[in-house]
This record gives sequence, structure tokens and C-alpha cells, in this order.
Amino acid sequence: MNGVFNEGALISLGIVLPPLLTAIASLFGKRQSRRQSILTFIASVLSFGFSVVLVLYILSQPSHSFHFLLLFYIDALSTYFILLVNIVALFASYFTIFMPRQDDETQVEQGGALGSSRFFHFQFNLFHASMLLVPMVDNLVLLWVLITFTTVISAPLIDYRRDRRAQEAAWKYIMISSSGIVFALLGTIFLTSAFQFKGIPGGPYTNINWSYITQALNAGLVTPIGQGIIKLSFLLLLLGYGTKAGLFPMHTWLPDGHGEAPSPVSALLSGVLLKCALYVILRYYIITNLALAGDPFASNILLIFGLLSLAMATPFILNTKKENRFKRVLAYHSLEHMGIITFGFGLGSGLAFFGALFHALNHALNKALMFLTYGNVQAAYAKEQIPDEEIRGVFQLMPVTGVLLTLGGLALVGMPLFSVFFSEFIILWAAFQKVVMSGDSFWIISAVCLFLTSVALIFAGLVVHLGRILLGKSPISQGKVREDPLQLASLGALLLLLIIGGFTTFPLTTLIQQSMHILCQGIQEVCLP
Amino acid sequence: MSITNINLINIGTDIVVVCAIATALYNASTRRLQGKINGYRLQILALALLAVIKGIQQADLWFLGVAFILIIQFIIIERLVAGVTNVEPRRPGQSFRSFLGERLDIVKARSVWLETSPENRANANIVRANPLTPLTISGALVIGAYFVASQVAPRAENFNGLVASLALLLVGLFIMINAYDTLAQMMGLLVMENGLFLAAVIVINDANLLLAFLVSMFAWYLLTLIILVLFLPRLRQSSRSIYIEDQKTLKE
Repeated sequence: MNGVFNEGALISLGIVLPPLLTAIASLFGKRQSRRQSILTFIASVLSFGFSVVLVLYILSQPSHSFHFLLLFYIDALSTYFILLVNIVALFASYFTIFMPRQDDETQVEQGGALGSSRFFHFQFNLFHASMLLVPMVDNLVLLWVLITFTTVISAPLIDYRRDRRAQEAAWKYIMISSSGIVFALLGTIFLTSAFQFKGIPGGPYTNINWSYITQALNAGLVTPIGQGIIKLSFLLLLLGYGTKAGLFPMHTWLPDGHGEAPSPVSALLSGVLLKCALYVILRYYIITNLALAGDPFASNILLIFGLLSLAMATPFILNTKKENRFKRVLAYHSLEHMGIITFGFGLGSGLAFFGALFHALNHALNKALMFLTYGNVQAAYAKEQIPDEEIRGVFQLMPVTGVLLTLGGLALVGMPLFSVFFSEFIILWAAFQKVVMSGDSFWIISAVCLFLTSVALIFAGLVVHLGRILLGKSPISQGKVREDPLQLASLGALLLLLIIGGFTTFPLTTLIQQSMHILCQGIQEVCLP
Repeated sequence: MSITNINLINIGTDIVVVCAIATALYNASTRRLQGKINGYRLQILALALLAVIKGIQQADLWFLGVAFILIIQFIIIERLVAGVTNVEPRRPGQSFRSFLGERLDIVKARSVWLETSPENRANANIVRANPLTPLTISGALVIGAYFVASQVAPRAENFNGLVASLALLLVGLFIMINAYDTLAQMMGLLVMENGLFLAAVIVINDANLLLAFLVSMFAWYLLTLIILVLFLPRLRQSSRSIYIEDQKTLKE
């Protein structure tokens, strides 16, 4: 359904407005109040509710898509990513209620000077809103602006603790991301200038809308001026947005950024921000595939970047020195899983797309569970002035949290019964399918071998890290820490989602299938199963 | 427009493109921050001139808008870098005007820039300290950019612009990687940004795209301003140093 404003537009507004309005309200709230956190959580609940409505709406539309206000376009793929953002934001915002605040006496005793809670909630909600807008936007330049905005708004969130380590992490993040997105904008300029349109009707600026370019390429109404410039553009775009997606070799901000940010922010960064950048790459992937008409260049490049990311994460996770703090290890797991997802997309078949999309959701949920659970552990030990490197005996001190961390860790390394195993298995199955169908099977078999070796080594690495923090004698005497049942219940809900996902993709199957159809555009081989 | 005028414009464009690359090479090779700032400002002037030429050629006012933004950047950049350098906190009873004046004092900042030159640091490595090495590497990057452009778009109408924008991007990235202090690193990022400007001015022929690009440039400026006004001064205040080595507390 096309139009300036429609029901879909109203639902979309319902998704974006709660965090946007809460961001503004945060600035006028009381300086040291838990109410701001509760308001942030309510905004996330509302936004999540509207995104569920959007899923139902988009599936009820004959074209499974709609336009509004010229700059926005929503289809099944966008809806899937909006839902993904909101699920993680829902849990992350809930945990802001339990975060150490500026008025926390312990923090003051430790010499910490936390950022203002007003600004934290302002930035948190604005960050949430900007990530929701990314999958909604049709205009490629606006898309770049929004990704830039996510950097601008999330860097102060990383610096929330205001100590030297947090400042350094934020500085690294902003410098690396900024240099990356320059490549992305250059790629956008080259790509959009590389098409000659044959006068299709459309409003102003439509020739920089990805939906318009895709439509025109599908209809043969646009001619690329050369294949070389399209390939160069895709490379630049992958380098640029790949920096934000945390792909090798532009991943260097990940361990510092995720490691130093407060846990709810780490959950958003790892679970959602990386996926938003990946979403943008996917839009360009479709355009590149259509423009190159059958040349698997984009798929091959994704395959290489994916495998390299997976392989390069391995030694960092295997580094079991205590200086390699657990949140950094989790960040390297993001590199690993982004590698797996990118590898899946690089396989360029319907089954692989299905697996990669499902894996994106599983990784987001799993990372939210791990960061938020470990955030509780960190807070409990920090109260007793025990640094991260010295955390031991979590099982003894916080038994339920320990179990959650163990199960979450096992899910993260792809143990059967968990959804991560399910989605990794689908991707591997798609790779084997590719071996059977493709004549050039040597490279795919080598890639699969590398994939399996890395995953096995990473499994061993994480077990050692978990063993270090979970087992042994706790430096804090038993009974001194009380586990909050409200926090445990929400973490349990996340774990339950990961277990359910190990058996079925319901109720998201249709949405993922529709997204898969969108990604199959421009793939010359048999794409849909 | 007559053929002679078109030729003149093309020659003018090529001269500006060469100037942009030459200033980038100078920026990469010079060890002093003041030199880097001067090189960057010259590069901006060249790009502003290019935007004016393109505006006249295409009779499009938006290009003059681009030139206007560049001129503003030319004027304020040195003061902004000085603001990052002079980070003494506001004294009790000091007026905001006097505080701002001290903060943006270029002369005061220059003494810090001279002090922090790699020449004055005993453990500066050879790539950073010897101007010939970064010059050679940057030269190789320019040749690399030419090679890539000739592979992907050998017959492109704006081939020189394509080469130059890629070259600025790569050299800017090299300046960032090779930087000895956080301010020089920032200059690298700004050189990369000029690569974008060059691409926009030379490659874009569509008015809609140029307008959208102008919007994106504002987003970019917001990011640069946040780094220059918020992050770098805070980093410098807490570490009491602008050296990159002194910022690495997170290193494993």
C-alpha cells in the first residue's frame, strides 16, 4: 500500500514515538530518580507492543510492504529487524532500573563520577529510537545519517562511568566508527552515481531510495554505468558499515566499547547496534546482486569477511589470562557470531538466509542474557570493591545467577537444545547444500572445516572463562549478596526464549520466510528452497 | 559555455585535484601539528575553489553551499584544535568570555603543539619520526588509489576525481594510524572527510543527490564537533597528555 500516510505509518509512529518522547521527558525529570528508568522501561514496552502490531499488519498486507512520507519504507525484512531491536531494548531498559546511579553511595565511595542519570536516559532512549528508525528509512543518505547518529549518541553512553578506561573506550569507538562511516558515505556516493535511470515516475529524491533502486533494477529500468564501480562501492560500503557491524578487521572497538559500557548499553550495542549495521549491508547486498546480474561478487565478499571474523575471534576467546575480562570475551563472541551470520548471508541461498536471519535474533537474545546476567555479577562484586579480574565463585555466592550464566554460555557456544545451535545448524546445512549444488566445492568445504574448527575452539575457550568466574571460592562471604527475584525472572524469560527457539521458529517463521524472499532478489542460482 | 571555457574549467579542476593530493601528502609527511593544520587548510581552500568551479560549470547554487561550508571550516579549524589543546578548567570568578578566549587561544596552543612534536619524544619510532617514510607510504597509497580506479572505472568521465577522493581517504586513514597524538589523528579523520567532499563535488551531477549529501555533511560535522568539543578535551584532561601511547590503559 503506497501513500503519504496510512495505518502502517501510524503503527510506525507508535514504535518510534515512545522512546523519542521519553528521551525529551528525561531531560526535564528529577535529577536522581528511579522514575526515569521506569519511564524508559514503559516506553520500551509500548514500542515493543507496537512492533508486534506491525508484524501482524505487514503479514496482512498483500505486498508485505508499505511506503510513507516519501522517506520511509517498511517490508518484512525491516519489520524483522525492528522487532529484534525492540526485544533486546525491552530487557535492556528493564535493567536500567537496577543500574548503579549517580546518587549511589558505593559509587561515590569508589571515586566514580557517573554521568548524569538524566542524560543517560536521554541518550539511551534516543539511541533506541535511532536504531528503530534505521530499518524504517528508505533514503540511502538518511540511512547513513542515522547510522552516524547512533555513533554520536552511543559514545557518551559507553563513557557513562567517566573514568579513564571508559573514556578511552568511547574515544576508540567514536574514532574507529567515524573513519569507517566515511568509507560508507563514499560508497553511497559512488553507488548512487553509478546508475542511469530511464525516467521512471517518482517524486524528488526517489533515485536515492533503496526501494526505488531495487524496483528499477528488477524492472530493468536502470543501467549501471559499469560493474567495476558497483563492486568498488560495495567494498567501500562493507568496510564502512562493517565497522559498525563489528566485522574483521574493523572490529577493534568491540572489546573496549562493550567491555566498558554499562551492561544494559553493552546488551544494546552487541545485540542490536551490530544488527542495524548488518541490516544496512543487506540492503546494499540486494542492490549489488541485482546490479551485477548474476555475478556472486557480493556473496563471496560476505563469505570471506564472515569467515575471517569467525577465525579471528578464536585466538582472542582462547586467551584465558585473567586480564582478558569476561565482558571483553563476550565482545569477541560478537565478532564470532557476526562472522557466522555474515558467512550465512554470503552463502547466498534461501536456506542460508533463513538460518542467518534466525541466528541474528538468537545472538541478540543470547547476548542480552549474558551481558545483563554478568552485569548483576559485576555490580555485586563491585560493591565489595572486587575488580572484574578477581571475580570468582559466582556459583557459591549467587547460585541462580551462576546457573543462568552457565546456560547462557552454553547457548552462546552452540550447545544443542538452544536456538543458537538450531540456527548454526541451518547455516551449516545450507553450506553442505551449496557443496552438493556447486561445482567448485573445495572452497566451501574448506570454509566449513574452518567454521567447525573455530566453533569447537571457541567452545573450549568460553568453558575456561566461565569456569574461572563461576567456580572456586568467592572472595565475598556467603549470604552477603541477595539475588533479586525480579531480575532473575526477566533473565529466565530470556533463557526460555532461547530454549523455545531451539525447537521452533514459530511465531516468526512467516516473517523470516518473507525476509528470505526479499534477500533472494538478484541471486541467479536456485535461491528459494 | 564555449569549448575554451570548458577546457579551462577542466584544467582548473585537474589543478585543484593535484593540489588536494599534494596537501594530503604534505600532511602525512609533516611531523608538526601546525604543519598538518596548515596543509589541511590549504586543502580546504582548494576544494572550495573546486566547488565554485563546479557551481559555475553546472549553474547550480548548491555547489556554492558546499564552498561556503568549506570556507567556514577553513576559518574555525585552527581555533577548534586550540580548544582541544588548552583544557585548563574555568577559574573561580573567571568570566565565560575570558575562559573561552583562553581556551581558543591559538598562540598558547602552538607552544603545546611544538612540545608534543614527535621530534621531542625520545621513543618515537622511525615511521613517525622520519618524514620520508610516511611520504613514501602515502605516495604508494595514491598509486594504489589510481590502480584501483583504473581497474574499476577506467573510462569514467570523472576519473581524476575518483582517484583523488580514494587517495585522500587512504592517506587520511594512514595519517590516523600513524598519528603520534590524538590531535594529529583527528587531522587524519578530517583529511578523510575532504575525500568525501571531493567525491561529492566531482562525482555528483544530480542536484537531489547533492542536497542529500549536504544534509549528510551536517551529520558529519556534528560528529566531528562532538569529538573535538566533548571527547578529546575530556580525554586530555583525564590523561594529562595528547600522546596516543598515554591513552592506552585498556591494552591487554
